Amino acid sequence: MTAPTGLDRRTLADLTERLARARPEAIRDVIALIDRLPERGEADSLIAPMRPRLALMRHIVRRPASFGRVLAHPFEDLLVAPNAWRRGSLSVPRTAMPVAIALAAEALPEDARRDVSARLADATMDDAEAVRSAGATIWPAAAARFGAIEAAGLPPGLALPMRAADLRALLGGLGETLRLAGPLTELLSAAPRGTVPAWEQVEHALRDTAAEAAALSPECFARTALILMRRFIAAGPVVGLLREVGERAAGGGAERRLGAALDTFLAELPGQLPDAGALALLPYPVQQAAVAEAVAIVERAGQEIGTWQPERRDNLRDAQTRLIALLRRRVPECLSAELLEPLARAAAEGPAGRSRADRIEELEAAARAAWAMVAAARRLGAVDDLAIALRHAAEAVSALAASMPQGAPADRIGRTDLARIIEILAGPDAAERALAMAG
Amino acid sequence: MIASATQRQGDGLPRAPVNGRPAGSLSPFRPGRFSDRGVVLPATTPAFAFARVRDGAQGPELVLRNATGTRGALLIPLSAAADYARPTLHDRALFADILRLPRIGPAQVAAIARAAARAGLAGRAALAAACAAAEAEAREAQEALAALGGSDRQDALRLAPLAAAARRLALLPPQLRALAVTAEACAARASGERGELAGFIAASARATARFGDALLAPLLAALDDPATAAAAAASDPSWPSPALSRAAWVLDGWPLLLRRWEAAEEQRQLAGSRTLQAIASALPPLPAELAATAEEEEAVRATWRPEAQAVQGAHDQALLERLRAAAP
Repeated sequence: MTAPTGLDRRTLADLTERLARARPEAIRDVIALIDRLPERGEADSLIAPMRPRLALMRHIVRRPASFGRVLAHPFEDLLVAPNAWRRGSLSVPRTAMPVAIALAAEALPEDARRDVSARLADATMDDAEAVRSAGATIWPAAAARFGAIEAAGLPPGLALPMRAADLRALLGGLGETLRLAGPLTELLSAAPRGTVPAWEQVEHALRDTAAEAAALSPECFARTALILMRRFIAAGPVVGLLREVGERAAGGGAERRLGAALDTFLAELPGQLPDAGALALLPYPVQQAAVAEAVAIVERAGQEIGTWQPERRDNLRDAQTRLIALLRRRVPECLSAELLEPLARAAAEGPAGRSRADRIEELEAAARAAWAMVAAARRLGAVDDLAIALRHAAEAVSALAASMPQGAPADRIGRTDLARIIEILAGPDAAERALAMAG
Repeated sequence: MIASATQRQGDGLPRAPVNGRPAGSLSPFRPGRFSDRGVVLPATTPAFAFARVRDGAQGPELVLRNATGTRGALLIPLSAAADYARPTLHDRALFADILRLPRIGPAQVAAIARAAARAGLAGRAALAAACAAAEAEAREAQEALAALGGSDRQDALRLAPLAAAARRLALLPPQLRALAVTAEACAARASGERGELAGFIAASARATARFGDALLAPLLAALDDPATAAAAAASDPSWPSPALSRAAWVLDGWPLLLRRWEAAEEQRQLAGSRTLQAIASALPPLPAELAATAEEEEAVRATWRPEAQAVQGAHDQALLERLRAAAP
């Protein structure tokens, strides 16, 4: 691999390191720059470590629609980091995508490729109509090409990201999945990332899509099941629904392969959870939503796997332990470094200080995120330490409110602002008590 | 002690009368009069989101949807609201002030809500928005005073803030019609319950816009002409307060609901029936007393949804405070 002009390895490493700590807005600008490069080369390696964060920042970083992204759109939930992929997994390592994209592009005549480029010009992946319209050209052609490769073998001269037999099988599987691209895309559009759709809103379409997949082959059913689990498990009893569909499918193979989908889902679940470092750099409402979704997934998976094999329970316990550990790191950090320390500084500076009231909204957002993360953690089990941390933080803010002089200027943080923080952390009764004491 | 603090008003009520006659005590969700319906409360407590407050026999009472989906309303004496759910700091101040009101109407509740926002109890954004809105209203009243320059000074001073208020209200019907267009498009795309909910929201918005326009158009025409305004004020010293107050009742709650719809659009929540259900159950129904013809009665009935239930967890405090800041 060669670095893009003017970007040596040391610069690249330095940039990667700095981006790992960058705020979402800076990342958005860098991604936009990289997305505009005609040949991304090693600049791609800047994006790789940020992918977990990018997945959580879709509303901030809107990626331009491209041939590759549209191709992968129906099975995007199958994509995993190369180091998370193991042979036998139903997921797709991202390293397989350049080959898949090149093969799919070759399957289209030149004028069709130009037509797709024109449809996608200036569109983002949020532009459902552009994605659907380009997909209508790309998906059937790619499905046919991948199917032909599975039957006849890989074309010569490919740079293989994995063993040839594995790649051939993987492309065959993707080809089959792409035959369901239309219904999958419709279904996924009902559940944009970061939202949990109402079960009754998607149940019917989920059942139909799963049944279509089962009619194609047990393997297609398994991959589709994995997509549906990853996207919809927080919404409702998706595994139960898939079991019902699998049981009704002819031949019994679909039901057996559902076990493989569940194994892949649970084995790769811990790796798909956000990590504390990445979470801390996201806007607070996104942190809240990401944690709530992760907790809902773990909670629902626990209900769904029921009495299935004990090793699946172990995998789930791993995910749960990891999530609680994440919250045990993130909540105290949020409360102390991002809430109490700035408040204490503002109180120490007094009315002449630089801590203006416009910071209060960010502090309220930090308090809300901490409270919401503790509420989410409670659903996973006993987290008394986190509840105590919240209470201590509220007491510390009460003490600051009591020590705050009367009549702070309107543009400074005042007692009412602190009372609102207490309200968020410990409820309105505690806030009212703090106001009464301070008054 | 929820049971003792509440009463349920049942259904099986008489058909609403036409020709504008008061209909007596119909359900708050199929109201005979505006006073049966109550005023939409700009509360920040999720349990009280879009609740209404009205004068009850024992003092002000909250009108809520039943969480169980059964018909009828949950009526809670405002003084016992804390037995039902823990009100936020903002709502404690709001409730305390409403309990002191001699009579409940949209203008009175709006003034109290603005005072609570200006105290910072709904957050800095709501505080800034409330201050900015107060300044804008004062400026608009000055402009109205200048426009009414030809009429008697005493009358002009009285009429100017009313003219400004009428013009602010007149901004709402076009926004309601715009909402109706998006809701109709949503209804056309959706099927089943979602389609029905979006259709109901569109019909409610259109009916409310229609009655709002009908009340405001003659008022604005008269206020735009200083001589006509002076003559109307001379023949009726209370003019145009009754008509303006009626228009405020018709359009009550919609500024918050418009912002709620926008928030749902921004967060791409309109694809979900839960959000549509939450918005539909919050829409204030028009009372039967508005209808003078069978056609108007039909329009009024288009805003009724007695069987809707409260949607648990559809609004959190942060969202309700953002709505307060967006609709001060």
